Amino acid sequence: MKKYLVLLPTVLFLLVFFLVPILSIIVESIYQPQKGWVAGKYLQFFTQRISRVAYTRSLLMSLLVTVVSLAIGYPSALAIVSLKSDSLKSFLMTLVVFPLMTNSVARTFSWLAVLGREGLINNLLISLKLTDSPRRLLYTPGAVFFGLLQLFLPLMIISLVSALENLPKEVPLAAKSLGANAFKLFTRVYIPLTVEGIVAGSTLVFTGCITAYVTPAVLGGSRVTMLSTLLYQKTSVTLDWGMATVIAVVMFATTLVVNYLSRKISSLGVSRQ
Amino acid sequence: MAFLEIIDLSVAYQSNFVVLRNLNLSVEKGSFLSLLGPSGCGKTTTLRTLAGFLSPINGKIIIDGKDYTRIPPHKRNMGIVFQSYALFPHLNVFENIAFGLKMRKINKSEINQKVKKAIDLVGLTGLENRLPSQLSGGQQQRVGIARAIVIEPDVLLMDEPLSNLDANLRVEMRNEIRRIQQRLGITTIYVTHDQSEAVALSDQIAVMNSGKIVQLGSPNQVFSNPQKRFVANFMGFQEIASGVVEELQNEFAVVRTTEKSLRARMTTQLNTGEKVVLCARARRMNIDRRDGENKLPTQIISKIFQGENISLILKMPNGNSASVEVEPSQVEDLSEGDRVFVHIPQDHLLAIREEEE
Amino acid sequence: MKINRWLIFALFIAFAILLGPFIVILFASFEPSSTLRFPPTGFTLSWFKKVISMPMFQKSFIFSLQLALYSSFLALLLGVPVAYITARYSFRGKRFVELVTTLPVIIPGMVAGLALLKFFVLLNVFSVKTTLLIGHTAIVLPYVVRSTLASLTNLPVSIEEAAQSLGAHPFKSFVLVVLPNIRVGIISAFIMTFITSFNNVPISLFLTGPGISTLPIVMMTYMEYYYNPSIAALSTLLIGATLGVVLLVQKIFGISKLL
Ligand SMILES: Nc1ncnc2c1ncn2[C@@H]1O[C@H](COP(=O)(O)OP(=O)(O)OP(=O)(O)O)[C@@H](O)[C@H]1O
Ligand SMILES: [Mg+2]
Repeated sequence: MKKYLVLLPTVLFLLVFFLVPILSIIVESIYQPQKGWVAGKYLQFFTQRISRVAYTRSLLMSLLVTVVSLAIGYPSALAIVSLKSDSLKSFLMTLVVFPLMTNSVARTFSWLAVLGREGLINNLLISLKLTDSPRRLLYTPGAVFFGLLQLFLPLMIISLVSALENLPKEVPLAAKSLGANAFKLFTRVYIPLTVEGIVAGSTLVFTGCITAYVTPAVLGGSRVTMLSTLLYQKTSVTLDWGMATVIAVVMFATTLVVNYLSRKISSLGVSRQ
Repeated sequence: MAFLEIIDLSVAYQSNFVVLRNLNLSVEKGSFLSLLGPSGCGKTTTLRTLAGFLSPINGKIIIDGKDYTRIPPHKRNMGIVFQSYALFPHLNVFENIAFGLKMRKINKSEINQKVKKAIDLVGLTGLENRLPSQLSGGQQQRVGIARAIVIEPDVLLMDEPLSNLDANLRVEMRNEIRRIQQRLGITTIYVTHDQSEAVALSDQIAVMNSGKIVQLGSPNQVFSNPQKRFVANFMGFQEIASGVVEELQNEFAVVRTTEKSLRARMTTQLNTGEKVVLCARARRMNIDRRDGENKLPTQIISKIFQGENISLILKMPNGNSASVEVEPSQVEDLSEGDRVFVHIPQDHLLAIREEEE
Repeated sequence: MKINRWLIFALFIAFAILLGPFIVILFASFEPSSTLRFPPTGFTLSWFKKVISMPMFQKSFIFSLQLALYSSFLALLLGVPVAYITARYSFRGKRFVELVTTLPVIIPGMVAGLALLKFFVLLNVFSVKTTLLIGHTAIVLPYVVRSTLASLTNLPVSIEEAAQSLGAHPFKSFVLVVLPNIRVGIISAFIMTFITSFNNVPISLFLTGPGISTLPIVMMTYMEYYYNPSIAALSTLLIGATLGVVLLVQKIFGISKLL
């Protein structure tokens, strides 16, 4: 059929120029024509302190950011959904989306002015006499955490807003209901009904955190090495291509596993209802 | 050979779900044929095959002696009027109607002149610059009609063009369509599941069921003389009894039912001993207190006032229920549960072969 | 209405985290001294002037613009037909095509960047520039396909059939009837892909060469050596431009086109 020929350039483009290189580095990391099967680099990755620390740190950081963005994102999404004015809602959503669209370097650099030696927080602490000399806030896990939170909170809010907007009309908005039963309403009604949105948002945030580069690079630097920054170090500083590839494969595999698990959880949640 | 010939046409979706089976149909030039049938019987499929959007697994479509079976839609010169109007949302009324002419590379002044004529014909003068979204449903369908006829198509195909309009407008547009079609003499195939629409518009009606044409005839033939049980039911006849042909008397048959023998008109030739069903319309039956010729004993199940007349639901001897419409004055003293006789004049009682082939 | 107040409080926190740093950086870029400081000790526009006149930023800015433009165009060229065919026809291998066009979303950018570097640049198959174009086109392609698909599902097939019955070849009906009616989807896809490519770091990070570097990468490199408000000024400019685009898109097409 002639019309299906137009699919060919696109499919070939993505297969040859995108998938093949990626598959080739994955294969190369476990099998090399001269040496046969190789697992040494993987062993190294899981035994060396630096890579183990970076990996655990990345996982824990991603988990923490996911949990906190859920904790802030859920009530925020509820607030946005329960607004009456559609134009206000759409304006707020635009502001939510805006950080996602901003250049990541510019966005991350903004935190330097907040957390730097003469930044907002240190100046605030000093003027409140809570400290007399500037504290080191940058290049700490905390700095990375806030940077990632800003970056991925939008994804969480967007997922939750769309989940909440798809709720049946009869489900009363917690914002409108009164006091005592609200907690029950929230845990018994909202959370079960929005499981899919929660899982989808969490997956996006988690996998996003695992793979984010700019934020840990700028706000964590070499003091807070994470998986992504370690990967770049291996290619630019130590030129250990084998290890770089192994890190990339581990990163990719982690996102695949997380996606797989989230799909499982989602389908469990659906089948229970 | 007729102008449009459909020969042994079979059409399937996904190569195994056969929707049309060996369909045959011929349409004379300039005539108006309706495809009438219940939902899912394959009317739209027939039309889309004629238009070239579906290719048949076998069979032929011949128009004016030329084989169209494998010709792509854009080379067929058929005008289509869609149920959903399918106007181009980004083009105004004038541009919508001019679209087909532009594709034919006709010069500008001729296009202007033809479009203007078409706009006059469908009564849209003054609305040339409106976008489809700024028109009412009826006006949109007028654009749809103008757009299809302005290219002077060999065949005009219409798929339930009025079903999105409200009842009053439907009758008005129905008359418009007939007027325009007769004025231009375009061979037209019109799909509908509304029998009154088909009867009012058509020169010929083809009643379809499960991918086949079960009866082809003039509106009067189809409406008054259904030859098949399915057609009778679809055209509003009720089956009031079944029985066996005892005797033939010219165009009448004497049919023995479980209760008694009745005289009924034949719409196809029957033989003695054949099993038949007896069919009649609600308006063509009367209520009587006494037994007699062509009468059956019944019991009134319910009595429904309908304004001009009253509808009685009767329990027939064979257990079926049937409704009868009568003047209120005739049945004032009757109430639910009463036993009465129903009289069916022999001209209005049809004997139709029982089994469907 | 106790709950209500808590929700508003959460929303406030959320926006403080999302937007607060942008306000801080805006003020920090007016700082006269050469340290990054908030609140600023004075007001000057000299950092803006400086950063605009620096050749390294000028060059990489132009390069990033070109790269974003070319890759977005290429992605439209490759993505729109695929979206059209998959929206309108069912065929064997459709699932495969859909999977292939979502690959760049599944694969982390850094993984793709490293792979492209090793496979194409280090093996001297393509130049750095070509590889950048390939990588950027690939990662923005899924946006094009998704956005076009969404517009196509809202467009009834019958208008294409109408066009064909009126004598338009299927290709002509695509150009004359389909394209004009999905242009909003295509324009918003283009804006999205442009921004995505312009801002990309994970792929561009690995694909630099003598005199070839995208703006975000040049900014990252510069930041390693200098710690003054010039990057703040540049960031303010980029943030402001993005805000402008986002508000414009929201106003013209509605927010849904950005999600
Ligand atoms: N695209 C399709 N794929 C598979 N089956 C189809 C498709 N279109 C129609 N059918 C099936 O073909 C049969 C005939 O459909 P068709 O649309 O021709 O009916 P119709 O007579 O026009 O009915 P209606 O009065 O409801 O419009 C139906 O059983 C329908 O379910
Ligand atoms: Mg139909």
